[in-house]
Amino acid sequence: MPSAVEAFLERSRAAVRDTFLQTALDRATSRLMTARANGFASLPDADAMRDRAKAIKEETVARLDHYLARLAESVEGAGGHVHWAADADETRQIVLRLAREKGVRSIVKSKSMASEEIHLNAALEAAGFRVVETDLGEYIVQIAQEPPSHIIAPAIHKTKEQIAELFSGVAGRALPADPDQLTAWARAKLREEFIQADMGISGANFAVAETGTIVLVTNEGNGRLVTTMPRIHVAVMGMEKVIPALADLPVFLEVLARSATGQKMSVYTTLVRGPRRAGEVDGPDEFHLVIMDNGRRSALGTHLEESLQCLRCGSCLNVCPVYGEVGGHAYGTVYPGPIGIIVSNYIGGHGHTQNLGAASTLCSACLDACPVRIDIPRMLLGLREEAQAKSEVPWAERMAFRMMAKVMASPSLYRMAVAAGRKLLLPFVRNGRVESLPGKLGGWTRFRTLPPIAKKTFRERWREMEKDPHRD
Amino acid sequence: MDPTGAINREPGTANSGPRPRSVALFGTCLMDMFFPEVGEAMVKLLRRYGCRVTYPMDQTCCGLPLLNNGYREEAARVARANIPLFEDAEAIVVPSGSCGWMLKKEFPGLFPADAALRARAEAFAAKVYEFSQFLVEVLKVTEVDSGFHGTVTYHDSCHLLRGLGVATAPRTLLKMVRRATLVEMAGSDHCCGFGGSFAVKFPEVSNAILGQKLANAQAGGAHVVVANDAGCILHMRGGAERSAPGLRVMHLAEVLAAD
Amino acid sequence: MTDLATFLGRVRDALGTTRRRGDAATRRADGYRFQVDAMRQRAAAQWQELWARFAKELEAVGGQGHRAADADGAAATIAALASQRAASKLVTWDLAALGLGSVAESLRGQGFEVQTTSPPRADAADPAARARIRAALAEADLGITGADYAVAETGSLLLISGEGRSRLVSLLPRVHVALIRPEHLVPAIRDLGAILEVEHREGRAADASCLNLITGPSRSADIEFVLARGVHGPGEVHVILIG
Repeated sequence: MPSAVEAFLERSRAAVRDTFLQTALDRATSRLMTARANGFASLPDADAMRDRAKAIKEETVARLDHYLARLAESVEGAGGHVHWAADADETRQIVLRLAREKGVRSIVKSKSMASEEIHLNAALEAAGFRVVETDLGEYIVQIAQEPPSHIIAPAIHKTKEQIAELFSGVAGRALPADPDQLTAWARAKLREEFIQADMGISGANFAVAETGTIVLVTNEGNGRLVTTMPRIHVAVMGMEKVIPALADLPVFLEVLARSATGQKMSVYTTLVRGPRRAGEVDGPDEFHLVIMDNGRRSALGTHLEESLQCLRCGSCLNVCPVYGEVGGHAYGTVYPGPIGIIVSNYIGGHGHTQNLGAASTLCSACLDACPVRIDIPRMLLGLREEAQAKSEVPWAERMAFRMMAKVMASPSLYRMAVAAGRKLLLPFVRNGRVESLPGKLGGWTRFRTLPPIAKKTFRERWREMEKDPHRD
Repeated sequence: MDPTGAINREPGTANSGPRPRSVALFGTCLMDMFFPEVGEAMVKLLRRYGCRVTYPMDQTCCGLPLLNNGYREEAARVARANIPLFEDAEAIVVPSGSCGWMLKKEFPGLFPADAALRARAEAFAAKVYEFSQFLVEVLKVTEVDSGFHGTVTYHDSCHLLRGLGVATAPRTLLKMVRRATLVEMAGSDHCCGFGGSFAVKFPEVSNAILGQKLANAQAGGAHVVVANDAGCILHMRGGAERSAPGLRVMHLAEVLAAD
Repeated sequence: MTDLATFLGRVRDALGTTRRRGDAATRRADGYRFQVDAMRQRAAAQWQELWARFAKELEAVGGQGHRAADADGAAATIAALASQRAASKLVTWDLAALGLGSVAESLRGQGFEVQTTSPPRADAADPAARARIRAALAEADLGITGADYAVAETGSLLLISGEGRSRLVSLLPRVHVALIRPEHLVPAIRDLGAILEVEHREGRAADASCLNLITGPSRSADIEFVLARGVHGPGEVHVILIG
C-alpha cells in the first residue's frame, strides 16, 4: 500500500507528461494569477481588509461552540431546521432520510466541496435518487465521472473538444466544440432539471450566527435556482463556515472574489434565511441546515487549527508552482493544493495517512495570496516534523539528515565531510560536471548537472584572501 | 558615518545604523563547497567599498535543510554551534536569500525554552543582511565598476522576496552596471522549483517548474539569469546546462565584481 | 469619603427605573442606524458621481446603465430593449408598490404581454397559483424589478425578496432590467455591513427569505476559461436610473 507521498509521486509524474492537462493548467493559472493582481489593485487597503477578515475568523474559531449554538438558534427562529452531523456517514444518513421522508425523486445540486468531501452523490444515487450537478464545471465532471480537479474551476483539466464529446453523449446528437453553444445547451438541459427537482442541495460559503443566514457566492446563477425552485432546500456546511454577524460579511466579500478570480465581486451573493415566507411566491417550503464536523474538531488546539479559517477560495492553488504543474487529481485528496495538504490531515478523520507535507517547495506564494493570511508554510513544516517524528519517512532518509545534523554542528566533522564528499564525487565527474548520481540522488542528475565540490573550498581559500591587499 | 539616511526601506529589512567598519561573512555551506568564486567576488566588492571582511573559520551551515525537512531540534543544534562565532561581528553578510532568511527569521524561534540563547539568537539575527541589501541599504553603494556586459534578467528567489522582503536592491545594483541591460521576465517572482529536498524527492515536478522558469528567462531576451541564492543557482544552472545551454546563471556578486 | 459603589448607586437611583437603558444589541443597532443615515445623507449629496461610477462598474462586468427622466422614459427604454431582442413576454415585480405602476401599464399599452408576479397573499399560499406564476416566469423573455440598493464601487444591486418581489424575475428570463432612483445609490461594498444589519432589524429583510447581491450578468469560464454569459441566470443586466 503506497504512502500518500509515493502515490503523489506516481501521479505527479503522469501529470507532468499529460499534455492536455498541462495546457489546461497553464491557461488556468496564468489567467487567475494576473486577474488576482488586477483585482487587488482596486482595493487600496487590501492588507488591512485581509487582517480584519483573519481576525474575524480567529475569533470565530476560538468560540466555535458559542457561534454554532447561536447559528442554530437563529436558523430555527427563521423557520429552518438544523441537523448536527458528526461525520461523513451521519451527514449522508441525514440527507438520505430527508429525501426519503419528503418523497423526493430528483435532486439538483450547486457546487459544494462539503458534499464532495462526503461523497454524497454516490450515496444518493445508490439509494435510487436522481442527482444532477448544476454548476457547469461540476456538471461536466459528473458526466465524465471524475472528481473535480480544482476548487473553483472543477473542469479546467478538460478541453472544449472533450466537453463537446461528453455533452453530445447526453444530448444524443453532435454538439460543436464551441463554449457559447455548449453553455447554451447546458443551460436549457439544466433548466428542465431545476423545474422537476424536488430537493436542492447547496453548500454554504458563510453561515451568519446572528441571523441564521446562509451565504452562497456564485457566478452562474445555479446556486440561486437550487435554493429557490425545489420545494426543499438542504444546505450542507463544514462547521467552520460560521461567522458572527451580517456586518462581518462585507469584509470577506471584499477579499474573496478578488483573491479567487480577480473579480471585485462574484456575480451572485445570495443570502438565504429560512424557507419561503407567507406572501412570497417563490422559495422552498422547507429549509434544512446540516452542520458537519467530519474531523474538523480534531484540528482545534493543534498546529493545524489556523487552517479552519480557510474560505475555500482556491487562491493558493492558483499561485502554487506545484499545483500548477500537477493539477488537483495528483494529490489524491478531495481538497488539493497547499491548503488541501493541510486539511486532508484531519478532514474525514484521515490523520497522518494523508501527510503530503513534503509535496511543496515552501515558496510561500500561498501565504502571500491567501485572503485571510493562513500561514500554510508554517503548517507544512509542522507536518514534516510530524512525519519524521512518527517515522513516516524512509529510515535511510532520516539517518541521512541525522548525519547531516552531526556534521553541520561540528567544524571538524564538516571539514572532513567536505573532503570526503569531494573524493566520493570525483568518479562521477565528466568535463567538470557530475552528470549522473546513483540511487535516490539520481533524481537530481536526471534533469540537472551538478558541479563538483571545489578543489579549494572558500574556507580553504580564505587563508590567502585574509591578507587584504587594500589594507593599510 | 552617513548622515543622509534616506533609505527606501523594504519590509523585513533590518535597521541600517551607522556604517560598520568590519563585516563578517556567513558564507553558507553551498557557497563554500560549490561556488567559492561567489565568496571571492563578495569579498572583493566589500573591500572595494571600504569594509574589512572577516570570516570565522569554524562556521559550517545555517541549518535550513534540517529545519525544512522537519528536524527542528537538529537545526537548533547547528544554529547553537554557529551563533557564538559571530558574536563580535558588527554586521553579518550572507550571499543567499534562503540562508539569510533562516539566520534572520528562524534562528530566534529555534530556542523557545532557552531565554538566554534566544536573546543571543535575536542579537545575531539583528545583524544579518543579505548581500545586495547590505550594499544598497547600509553601504549606500551608488557606483559599480564592473566589466560585465550583456542582457540580464533577475530571478526573485522565494525566501529573499517573500521572506526578507528584498526585491529592489538587486535590481538597483544591476542597473548600475554600465554595460548590462536589465530586462524583467514574466514570473520573475515564481519559484524556480528547487525547494531543497523537493528537487530530489519529486524530480519531474521540480524540473517542470524549472522548465517554466528557464523558458520565461529566455522569452524575455536575456542571456544571463541573476539570482542571490545558491540553491536556486545550483538548480537553474544545472538545468540550463542540460536544456538551455545558451543561458548563463550567475550570482549577483559575480556580475558586479566582473573584470 | 464616599466610595465608588455608593456614589454610582446614588446616580443610578436618581436616574430611576423609568429610564430605558437599552442593552448592547440595541446600542449596536442604533450605531448601525446612525452609520446608514450618515452614509445616505452623503450619498444623496453626490448621487450623480455615484451613478457615474455605478454605470462604469456595471459596464465593466458586462451590464449596462441607462438614464430616464421619469417612469414613461423608463418604459420607453424597456420597450426599445425588448423590441431589439424580439422579446414580447415580460414579467415584473409589483411595480405599483414601487410607485412605478405606470411602467407596466405603458408597456402593456405598447403591446407587450406583462405579467406581474404579485398575487394576493392567499394565492401566494396556493401551490397551483405559484406554479402558474412560475410557468409565466419560465416563458418570459425579460424580467423587471426594482432594487433596494445599488453599490457604486462594483455596479452591484441588492434585491430583497418579499411580497410582490419574486426572486425568479431577476433570474429566469434572459434579460433583467432593474429600475432604481438616486436614493438607492450607495458608495461601497463595505457600506453593506451596516445596511444589512439595519435592514434585518427594522427593514424589509427582517421578514424576507432571500437577499441577492447581483453584479452583472451570469457567467462561467468553466470551459477552457472562455467567458460565457447567461449560463443559468440572465445574460443581460440593465439598470435604469429614474430621476
